[in-house]
Amino acid sequence: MATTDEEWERLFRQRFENYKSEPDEDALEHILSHVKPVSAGKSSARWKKRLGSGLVALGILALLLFSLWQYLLPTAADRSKLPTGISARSTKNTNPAEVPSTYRVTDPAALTAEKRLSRERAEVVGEPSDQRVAMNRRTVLRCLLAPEIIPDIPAGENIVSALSSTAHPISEPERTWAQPDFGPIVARPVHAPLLMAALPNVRISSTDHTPTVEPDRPGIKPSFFTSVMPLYTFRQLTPSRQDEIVMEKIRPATALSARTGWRVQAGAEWALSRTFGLRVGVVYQQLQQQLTYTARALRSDSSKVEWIDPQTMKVTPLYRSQEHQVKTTWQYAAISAEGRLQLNPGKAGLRHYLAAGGSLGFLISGRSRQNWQPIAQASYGIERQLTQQVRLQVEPGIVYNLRSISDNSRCFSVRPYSYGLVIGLHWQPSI
Amino acid sequence: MGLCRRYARSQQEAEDMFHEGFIRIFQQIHTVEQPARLIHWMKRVMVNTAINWYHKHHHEQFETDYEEAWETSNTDHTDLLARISTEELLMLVQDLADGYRMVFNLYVIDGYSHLEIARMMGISEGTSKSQLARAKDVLKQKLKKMGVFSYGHY
Repeated sequence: MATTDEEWERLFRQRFENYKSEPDEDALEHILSHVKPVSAGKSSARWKKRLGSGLVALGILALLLFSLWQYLLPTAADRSKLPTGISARSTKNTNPAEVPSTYRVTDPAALTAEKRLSRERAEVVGEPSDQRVAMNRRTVLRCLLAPEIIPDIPAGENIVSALSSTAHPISEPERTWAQPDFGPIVARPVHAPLLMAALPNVRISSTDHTPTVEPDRPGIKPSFFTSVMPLYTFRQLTPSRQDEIVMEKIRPATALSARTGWRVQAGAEWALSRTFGLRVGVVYQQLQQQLTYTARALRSDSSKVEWIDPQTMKVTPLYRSQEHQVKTTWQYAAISAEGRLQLNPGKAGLRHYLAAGGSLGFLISGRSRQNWQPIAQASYGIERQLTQQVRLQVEPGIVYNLRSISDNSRCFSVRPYSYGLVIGLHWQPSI
Repeated sequence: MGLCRRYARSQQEAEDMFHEGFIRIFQQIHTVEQPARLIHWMKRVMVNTAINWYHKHHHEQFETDYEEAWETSNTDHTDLLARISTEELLMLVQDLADGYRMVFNLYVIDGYSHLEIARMMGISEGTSKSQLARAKDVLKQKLKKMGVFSYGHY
C-alpha cells in the first residue's frame, strides 16, 4: 500500500515511464512538410551571412582599389606629361656664375629633348605675348586631343609664359654633376589644362631665377606605419542551447592575464586629401578568454540505495555538478583598411586624428568553424613628430568582432570587443 | 507520443506538440554528438517543446506560496492511487491545470528537480514546489472521488 509521497510518485512514474501512444497516420507527412521550408530558411540565413561577409570583403577591396587608383593617378599624369603652369626661366641671368644653383640631368635623351624644347621656347619667347598665349592654348588643346604625342615633351616646359621678357634671349641653365640642390620651387604644377588654357596671363614672379626640377612623383606618396596594440577584451557570452547540458554559474575570468590580447599592424597610408588619408595594412591579432561554469548532466553518476522494508528498496539517483574551465585563444591574420581624418591639418606640433575602418580576419587557430571574421575598429589618435621622417602615433581605440564565434567547449557563443592603445611609428619617406 | 499526451491538455494538442517536437528534432539532429544518447536527447527535445508550448499557449502562472501549498497537500491522503488503467490515469493528469500538469510531469514522471523546473519554466523554485503539491492534492482528490482508495501490494 502506498503510504508515502515518494511511493505514490513512484507508482505514477512506473505507469507513465514507458507509456506509448500511437501518433496519427499522417504525422510523418505533416512533419516532413514542415521540415523542408525551415531548412530552406536556414539555408537562406546562411546565404545572408555569406552575403554579409562578402560585402565586407568587397568594401575592403573597394577601398584597396580606390587607394591604388589614387596612388597611380599622379603617375599617369606624369607619364602623359600634362602641361603645367611653370613659366620658362627668366633670361636675365646669362652668366652661369650667377646661377644660384644647379640641377642634375641623368638621362641624355631627356637632356636632348629639353635642349630642343628650349630652342623652340626661345623662338617663341621672341614673339608678342598674345602669340605666346595662343601657343600655350594650342599646346593645351593638343594635349587634350592627342595625349599620346605629349610624352616627348618634358614636364613643365611645354607652355611658355606670356610674362617672359621678349628682350632677353633664353639661356640654358648650366648642367653639372654637382650635388643636387633643387632649390626653392617657383610654382606648383597645375594639373588642370583647361583652367590654364582659359587663363589669359599667369603672373608668376620673375624675380626668382633659380632653376627648378620637378620631383619624379609630385602626387600621392605612400607613407608607412607599423604599430602594436595591447588589448583588454570584454565579450558578450551566449550559452549555446544544448538539450543535454544545463550550465550554471557562468563566470568569465576577470584576471588581467585572462583578458589581454594584442594586435600588430603594418601597412601603408595614402593621403587622399589634406585632411583625409587611407591606410591599408596586414594585421595579426590574438585574443583570449577564460571562463568557468558548472554543468550537470541529466544522467546520474551515482545512486543512493535505501531499504524501505524487506521488499522495497529506494534508489535515489545522485547528480553532481562539476566545474569546468574553458580557455580559448583566437589568432587572426587579417587585412585592414581604415580611413584617417586629420582634425588639425597643417598645424605644427601634435596632430590629432580619428581613424575608423574594418578588417577581414582569417582565424588561424581555435576550433571554431567560423574561419572568416569581420572586425570593425575605430580609434582617436595623436601623432608627434620625432624626426623629419618619423612620427610617433598613440591611439586609444576599440576593436569589435562583428560576428560571434564559439569557444573551445562549443558551449558558448562569444562576441569579443577589445579596448586597446595603439602605439606605432609612421615613416614618411623623403620625396 | 506518450510523452506529448502527458504534457498536453487534449489529444489534438498532443499531436500538434508531437509534430512540433519532431520538426525540431529533424532540424537539430545534426548537432547530436553521441548517437548512443539519441533517444535521451529526443526525449529532452520533446520535453522542451512541451515547455515552449506551455509558454506559448497557456502560461497561466499560479504563484502560490510554498508553505501554504504544503499545508494544503498535507491533508488527508492515506489512500492515494487506484488500480485504474493508464488511460484513465492519463485523463486525470490531462485534466490538471496547465501549470500543475507541467510541474507534475516534469518532477514526478521525468525526474527533474525543482531547481531545473524553475529555470526551465521561468518560475521560482517555491512556485514549482507549491504547484506540485497542489497537483498531487488535486489528483488525490480525484482518485478519491472515483471511489478507489487503495493501490498496494496484493
